[in-house]
Amino acid sequence: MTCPKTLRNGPCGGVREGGWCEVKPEMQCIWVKAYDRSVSLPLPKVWKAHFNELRPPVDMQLQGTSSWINLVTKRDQQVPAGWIVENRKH
Amino acid sequence: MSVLREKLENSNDAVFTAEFASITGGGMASVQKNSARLAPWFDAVNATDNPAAHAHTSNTATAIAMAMHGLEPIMQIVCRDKNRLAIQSDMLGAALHGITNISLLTGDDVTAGDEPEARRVFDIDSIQAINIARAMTNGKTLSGRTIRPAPDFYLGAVENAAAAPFDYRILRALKKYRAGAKFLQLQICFYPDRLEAFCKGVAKIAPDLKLLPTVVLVKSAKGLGFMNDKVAGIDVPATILTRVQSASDQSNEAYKVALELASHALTLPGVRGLHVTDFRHDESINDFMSDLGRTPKWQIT
Repeated sequence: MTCPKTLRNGPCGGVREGGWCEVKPEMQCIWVKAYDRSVSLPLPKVWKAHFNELRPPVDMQLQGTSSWINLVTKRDQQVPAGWIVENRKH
Repeated sequence: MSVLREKLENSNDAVFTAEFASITGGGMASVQKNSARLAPWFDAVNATDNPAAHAHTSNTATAIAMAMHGLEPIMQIVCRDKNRLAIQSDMLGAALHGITNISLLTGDDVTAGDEPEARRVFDIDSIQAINIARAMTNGKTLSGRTIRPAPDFYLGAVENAAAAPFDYRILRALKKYRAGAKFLQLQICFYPDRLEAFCKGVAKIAPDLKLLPTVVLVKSAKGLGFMNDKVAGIDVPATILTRVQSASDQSNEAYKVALELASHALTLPGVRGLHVTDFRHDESINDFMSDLGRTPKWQIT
């Protein structure tokens, strides 16, 4: 994760002309890069759709722990009781 | 029900919102003076939250002061300075004072302001904040505690139609809508073609999302240059800069540019009104609104 604002749900509104980072102008916005790749790379559709999913707030208790172990134990899927994602149709 | 919500949800009337000048000193007299300028023209006005990463009177205190002076506030909350607890307490504090229009933003980075050495927070992002706010309207805090009665928020957000990646901005608007945003105040945009593509795209995939593009009133090419150089996410094309720079009356030319952008924005699909940011701080806001065909709610003396 190299977004200086540690954003998890896409690029902020501060992206500079040409797709450069607001905070570090010498760096391309990581979300611009990720979006371009999600479009251009030959990935399965289901992976591409992940880009638009609403990701929950980061659990700061997991800082410094192994993401692999958290993945296997599904600890990384735990969210606060009030984090409710509605599947609103449009 | 807030006027903003009533008008956007239950009428086809165009809605006009504005930005309240941030308060540092000046006390209630400055609030009164600002409110008197804006009240005749605008349905609701943004109470900002440390705009451009400069410390000012807090969003909640500003919103309360505005309400005391007859303006309907849209209270902004940005994610730069507050963690998830503080953001929820901002919302509960707003609800306590009857402030229901809440707009949730990521916020400029601390490096945009005058205290770049500060710690940036960004514990949650704007879309997560919207989702938390929507859950609060169903009576739950993020941790799952019950709020009774549940606050009756009317939720909004901001999106930048002029920033890369352009196609994705439409999907991001949809993401905000799905999280609970009912209206979007768009970032200042000097590219009519980008704004048009964005509005058309959003109108197609989220037709219920109400769009309020922003137009900025400035006095000179210097003002435009400042935004181009200093304000995150705003690019002023050279054609517009040169046009204003080479005009014999820069103030008038900058005004004309704003009027042209506003008139175009109002014709776009999904657009339900305009958000006006006034950096001229003179009487021209009255001319601007009149030139857009608006009539004041009462006679200005």
